[in-house]
Amino acid sequence: MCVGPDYQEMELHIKDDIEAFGKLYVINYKRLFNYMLYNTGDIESALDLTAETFFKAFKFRDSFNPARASFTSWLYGIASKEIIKYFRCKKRDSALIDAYLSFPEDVEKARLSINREELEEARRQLELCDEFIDLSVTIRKLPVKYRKILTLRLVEDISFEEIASIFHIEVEAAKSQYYRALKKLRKTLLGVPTGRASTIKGKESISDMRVLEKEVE
Amino acid sequence: MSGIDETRWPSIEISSHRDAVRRLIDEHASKAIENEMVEKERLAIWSYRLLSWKPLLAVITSVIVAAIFATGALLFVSRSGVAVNEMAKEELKAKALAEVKRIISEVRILEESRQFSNDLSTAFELRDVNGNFLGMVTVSNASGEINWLFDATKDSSKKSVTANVRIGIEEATAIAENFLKEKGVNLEDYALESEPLVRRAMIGPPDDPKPAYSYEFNYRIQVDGLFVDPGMFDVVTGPVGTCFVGVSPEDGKITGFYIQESYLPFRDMARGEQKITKEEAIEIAVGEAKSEIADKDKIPVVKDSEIQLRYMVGKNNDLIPYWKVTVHYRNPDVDVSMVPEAASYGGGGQFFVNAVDGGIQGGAKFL
Repeated sequence: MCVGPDYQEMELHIKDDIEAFGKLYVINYKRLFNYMLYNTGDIESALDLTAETFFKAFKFRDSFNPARASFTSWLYGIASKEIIKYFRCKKRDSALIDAYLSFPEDVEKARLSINREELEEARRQLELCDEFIDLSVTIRKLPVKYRKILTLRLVEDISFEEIASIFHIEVEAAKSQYYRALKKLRKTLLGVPTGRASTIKGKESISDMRVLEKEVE
Repeated sequence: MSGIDETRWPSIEISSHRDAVRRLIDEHASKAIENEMVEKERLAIWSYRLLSWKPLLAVITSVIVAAIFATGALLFVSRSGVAVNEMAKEELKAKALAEVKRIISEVRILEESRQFSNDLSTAFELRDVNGNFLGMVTVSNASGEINWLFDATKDSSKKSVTANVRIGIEEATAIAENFLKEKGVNLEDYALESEPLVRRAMIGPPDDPKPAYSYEFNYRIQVDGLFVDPGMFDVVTGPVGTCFVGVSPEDGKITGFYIQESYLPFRDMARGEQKITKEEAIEIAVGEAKSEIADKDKIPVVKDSEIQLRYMVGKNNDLIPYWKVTVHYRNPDVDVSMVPEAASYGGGGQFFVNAVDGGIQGGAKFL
């Protein structure tokens, strides 16, 4: 999470100072895009969802309350809802995947502005991330609520307090949801029993999870 | 990262997309500023009407005071007052319903929305026979005329637009103008502020998307060929005239409208003499922008298509010519041979340069 007096100062002014919003946009763009990428596994969809999230955040910036959550948490809250909408729409009719967008014209304009070489380079970078590809395919098979919480905690390194504020739940509930998500992931990956103390061997990413699991406990 | 080796996980950024999204947010910001100005005008007309009703309010107050003293008549007065009010409201509602049905035929019920009603106009939610929300109108309490209509059936996502424009621009213009004339708007002093055919979305499958359009006619008062804006003192002077009519490009039906006439005698109003040239205005606006840019490496740029000479209404009901100058901040580090030129712009603002004395009359910053 982005913290610091400058960041907090900017958060206070996003409603009436568009420049402050712009600065927060720049700070948060990359991590939000990667969050979308982890969730969708597809660069184009991640770009569209990122654009949609920021357009929505800008339109509804008046509803941001710095007393309730940080700007980044608020942004992830919007992003999480967008992901749910995206997958619902994809499930219904993958040919009309754009139908979930509230800002289709702007999202499309942004898409058309992408530099082809840059996009190719991003694809190459993505192909190099073996572990991401292996694990993200499995993560994407999980229900959306588990997928979102795993990505936030496992990849984005977001605290349980922040996750709780993003999903409007208690911290303990965030921890238990995360634990259930880990169990589900382990079960999907290896088909092993999902006991709390069970040991997972083999993949490095899975051993990483054990560390995380202890953290939850 | 919690136990995860970052080198095996992507941390990707596509800067051309990042900049494009930011640029589009810029556009949203300037549109929001314009909408705010329209809202200000709306507010101003209420205040203006309220001021002009002062003598009437005084008479009403006297009658009420007299009525209080006439104890015997008090009950009768209040009861009949309620009855009259109720009757007036029912009449207002019936008239509005008939009018609304011409535009949205499914409307059967008008439900008063107290949240959006005030002393001058009454807002109604529009509902079909099953109680589904179809839109909203505001009706002038004085004249019974609808002065704002929002058609939710047309507004939601792609319904308002179509990939196939079946109505030509001439026909759509005639529909919009006739509609406004029927509403009693004299378009003689108005001019279109922007091109009416607006691309609103891309619809269809992702591999073969089709552009979807709507007709949006935005009229504004013009004097001597210059558009008139409300200026800084609109609450005192009253608003300027603006009208909006949406026309479906598919069947020519009205999709929404907004009428705000002005009581200002534009043709007879005194005009300030323009002394500041376009070049001088650009110089002033750029100078102002430079003093405001936090990142001193950025270069202020003015595009010729984004500078306009307009009038704003002064506090003495006079017309002050001013230059509306849009200044963009260009990042010199962006290699425009690699990305579209537009990607090199980020941030800027609009500056209103008084064309009589060169003073900065106002403005708004965007990203």
